Amino acid sequence: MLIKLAFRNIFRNFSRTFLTFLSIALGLMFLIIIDSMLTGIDQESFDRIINYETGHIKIFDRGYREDEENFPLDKAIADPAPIIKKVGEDPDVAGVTSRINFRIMLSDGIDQYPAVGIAVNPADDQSVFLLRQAVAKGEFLRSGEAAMLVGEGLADDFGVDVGDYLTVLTRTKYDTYQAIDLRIKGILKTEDPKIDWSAVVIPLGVGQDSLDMGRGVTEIDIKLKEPARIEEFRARLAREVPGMEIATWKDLAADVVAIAKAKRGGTSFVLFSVFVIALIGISNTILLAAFERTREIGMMAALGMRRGQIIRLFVLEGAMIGILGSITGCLLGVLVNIPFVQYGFDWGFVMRDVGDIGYRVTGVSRGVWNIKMIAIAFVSGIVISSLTSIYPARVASKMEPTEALRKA
Amino acid sequence: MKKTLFTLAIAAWLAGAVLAATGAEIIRKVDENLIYKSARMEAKMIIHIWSEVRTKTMRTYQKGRESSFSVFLSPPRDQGVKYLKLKDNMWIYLPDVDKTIKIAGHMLRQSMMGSDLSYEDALESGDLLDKYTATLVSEEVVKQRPCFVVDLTARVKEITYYRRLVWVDKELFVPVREELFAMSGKKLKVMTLGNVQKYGSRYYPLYMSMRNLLRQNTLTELIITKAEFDLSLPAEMFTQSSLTK
Amino acid sequence: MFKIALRNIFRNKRRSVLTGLSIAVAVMIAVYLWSLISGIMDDLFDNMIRLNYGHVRILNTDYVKRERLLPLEANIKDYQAVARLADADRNVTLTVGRIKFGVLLEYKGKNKPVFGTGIVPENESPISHLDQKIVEGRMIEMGKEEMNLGASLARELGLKLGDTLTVVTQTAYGSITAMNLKIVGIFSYGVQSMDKTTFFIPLDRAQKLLDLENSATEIFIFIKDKNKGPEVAKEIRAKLDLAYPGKYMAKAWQEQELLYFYMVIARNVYAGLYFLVLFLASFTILNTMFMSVLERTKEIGMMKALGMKNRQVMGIVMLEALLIGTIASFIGAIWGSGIAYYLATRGLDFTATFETMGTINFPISSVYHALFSWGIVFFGFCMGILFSVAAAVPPALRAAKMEPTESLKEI
Repeated sequence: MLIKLAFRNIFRNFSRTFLTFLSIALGLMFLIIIDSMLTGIDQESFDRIINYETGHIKIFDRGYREDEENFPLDKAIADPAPIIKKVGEDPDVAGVTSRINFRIMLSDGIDQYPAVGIAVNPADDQSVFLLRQAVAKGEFLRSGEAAMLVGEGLADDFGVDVGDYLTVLTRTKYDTYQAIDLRIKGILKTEDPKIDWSAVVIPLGVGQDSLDMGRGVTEIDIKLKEPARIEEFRARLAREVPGMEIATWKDLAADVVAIAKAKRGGTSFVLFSVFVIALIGISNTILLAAFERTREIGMMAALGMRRGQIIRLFVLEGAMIGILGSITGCLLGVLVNIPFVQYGFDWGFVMRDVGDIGYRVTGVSRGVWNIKMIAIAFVSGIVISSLTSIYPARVASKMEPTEALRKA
Repeated sequence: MKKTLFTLAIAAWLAGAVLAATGAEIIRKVDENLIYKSARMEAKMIIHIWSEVRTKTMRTYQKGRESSFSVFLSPPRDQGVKYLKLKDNMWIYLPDVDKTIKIAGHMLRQSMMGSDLSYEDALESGDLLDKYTATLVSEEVVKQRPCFVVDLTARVKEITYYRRLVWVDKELFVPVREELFAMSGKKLKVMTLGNVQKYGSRYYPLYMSMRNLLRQNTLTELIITKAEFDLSLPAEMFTQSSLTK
Repeated sequence: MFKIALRNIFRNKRRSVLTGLSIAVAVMIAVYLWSLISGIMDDLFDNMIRLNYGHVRILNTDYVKRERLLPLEANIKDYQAVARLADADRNVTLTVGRIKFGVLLEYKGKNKPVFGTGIVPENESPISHLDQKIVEGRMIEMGKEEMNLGASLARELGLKLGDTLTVVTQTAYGSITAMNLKIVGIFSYGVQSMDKTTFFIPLDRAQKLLDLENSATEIFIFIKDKNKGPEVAKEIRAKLDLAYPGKYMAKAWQEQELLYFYMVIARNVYAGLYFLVLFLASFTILNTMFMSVLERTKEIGMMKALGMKNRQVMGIVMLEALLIGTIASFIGAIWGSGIAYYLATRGLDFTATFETMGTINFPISSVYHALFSWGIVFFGFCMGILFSVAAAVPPALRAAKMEPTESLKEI
């Protein structure tokens, strides 16, 4: 009975219902979009680090991390194959690969720049990292070929392009000078300054030979199927491969995590403000609508409806509009957000008025699906609209029917 | 037919052995000239860098290949700077701050006093033949002097330059040119030597130039202006305490 | 008419308060969010200019490409003569030479890479405000072997005022060089990239230390209007090309590539965000106002029945909206400016978070300060009124057109 009445009430005054509905729907839509954008900005730097530098978790030889800034090739994992095999069989592991990081001087015979060499295994690097997708020009490496990929910034510094040669000067594991001329096979563009401005990527085999490393690697990199359970996995890994050093991306990118934390302080403040606006918008609209119905309530009371029933009726109406608004709001939010998540928003156009700055930059910010926020938005839309309906109903139903009827 | 091949193989092997032996012998003879019990030298270091020329003078005391002690005499900003080398270690004393700094780790790879030599180059000590296999590869004429060309290839892993090519004056057994290579075979540094003088029974080159091929437009020359060999030097000279004296 | 409108507003207090509350909150948030965002961005740009780039910077052409390596050999010889060229420009208010160099500070057996800057102390206050940022001791003086050290760095190395630190580095020509420097002052910018990794020494001491007599690695130029950076840089470039062909170049802060680019992006991202928030805020105002007027259909009918003309009815409705809008916007603007003022003076402090982080070369303050400006407050105020009135138009129009009986029928 009540439901039917609520339905009738909702549709009877269409413009009122529509306005309330609109305030819920639009409020939630904005909440979802803004949150997605903010989370996207936060997430971006993490993704870059994980995708290009750290993976989710890394295995090092004991003592490597302590001396990490010196790229100690003598603290390498001499025989990584059994570990890679063992890790690869773990059901939680999405991908595993191995790398050698080494210090180099890159030279074209005129200029020299210090850089970081990364020897990657072309066969399985993409199971953990996104370097293959980051090749902006040219092609990715093939196993064993004497070629390299260089970051876009480095390539710009030297004024070189795909097909040109550069000399990689380094030291072997035994500190013997090593200099190899390699053809540039591809240019990397990752938006990760550590890669774009200082990375030289070569095939693992070439690295192992030139650095006199045998089959050794400096690290084994792992990508997980469920990154959220990383600590659990780390504990298990420590048992499975004893005597090694294990570090998660959070350990490896402590700086970035700290910056993001600081940024999140700012973003949650913004988000909170957005939430407040949406909340006020929704609740005030509902309150306004409900208070305007004091006369109606008096009528109902006069017709013999009990107070509890009246309140329930109002809450029910509020909930109905809330559900409708929440569904629409979330749906709209998600729909509007799709291109933003899919393609991101390119701020590159901003640079046009700055003039030619010598290299191509795109600043694409992408949204991120934050299911938690969508759920929160959905639930709060319904809860707010039902709860705020209680108060005016209570106030009005407390009045004598005659008084209520006289009002407004 | 088979027999001829076999003889040829033996002959080739023998020849190789003989060449190797002569290679080692040549280097040994060179060492007789260049290695001394002790020496005192005054030298001028001329560094050509970015179209500028910087000259530094110094006095060096050396004991064998292992120890040396140098004091810079000029220019004013380097005056009183002292270098002490003991085996694989190097200390620098800076008078401005009255401090001794040990050159270690990554710093060893840096250029010494801005020259084309790295600290590591300066630190190199011990017998070349302990670390390299010497092979006589050919004979050439360099600056009108007939020379042996000896190839030195590393036989130990821990070594800075994997391969060296040395041109040795056939008559005086003094190197006139040396090239240093990376493991991949890329040439890194070229050294030339000259102005050979006779001191007693030994011949010693008083001019040396070094070019780091990885740096653009740089050259370092070392001119020895005064040299005395096999004199007695006080042992305490080659201790850290002599730096602060 | 004004009286009627005023009476109407007070008659239904609850409605007025609710409508006003929505408007006030929306205005408040619009005001303080903008203050905060522009505060953060201004701080970033301001730090960038004052600490990294000046308005225009003269550099050796070879320095530009390899700036991240701080190549001392690519310096400006006889820098004062070069600076005089720029001084001649009528837009230029100040030119000052600087030398930035890298040092590996050794402590407890670990090496810490830090940056030293040789400065002319008496010129520094308009540039980096160093004089105001000294929290302990005093500023360095020309000709003396003294340094001002970042507070976080001092804490990390366990150094205090009066201590002497030996700085060991390489000269422009690659020789090892060192200098004993007495810590006479400790500064705190609240910018971690400064406080944690930098120190200042007198320019002449830097020249001596690095074997760069009469040279500087960069010349900072300050101009009257910082927005004219690129134009002034162009003029100076032309002069440099004439006097030192191909050797030196001038760059405005807007032309500082990567960092500037990322900052512009950051600014636009936040502007975009703010725009969304503003949209939501204005929608809230619109919607509430719309609802408020809509619910008064009956009242409007009454007015008409009493013989009011359409125009009059509309006028009253609009006037009411204007009144509520103005009062609410005023209250919202006060609230907003209160919060903005609090954020401007106290700030949102993230120092603890930034402390844990390594060396990043991004001149962001660890305390986010809002920028308090009456312009922003006024903007919020006007926005509130505008949207309140605009929202009242369609329902007022509709009500005015209604037949009296019709509107009375409706509940």
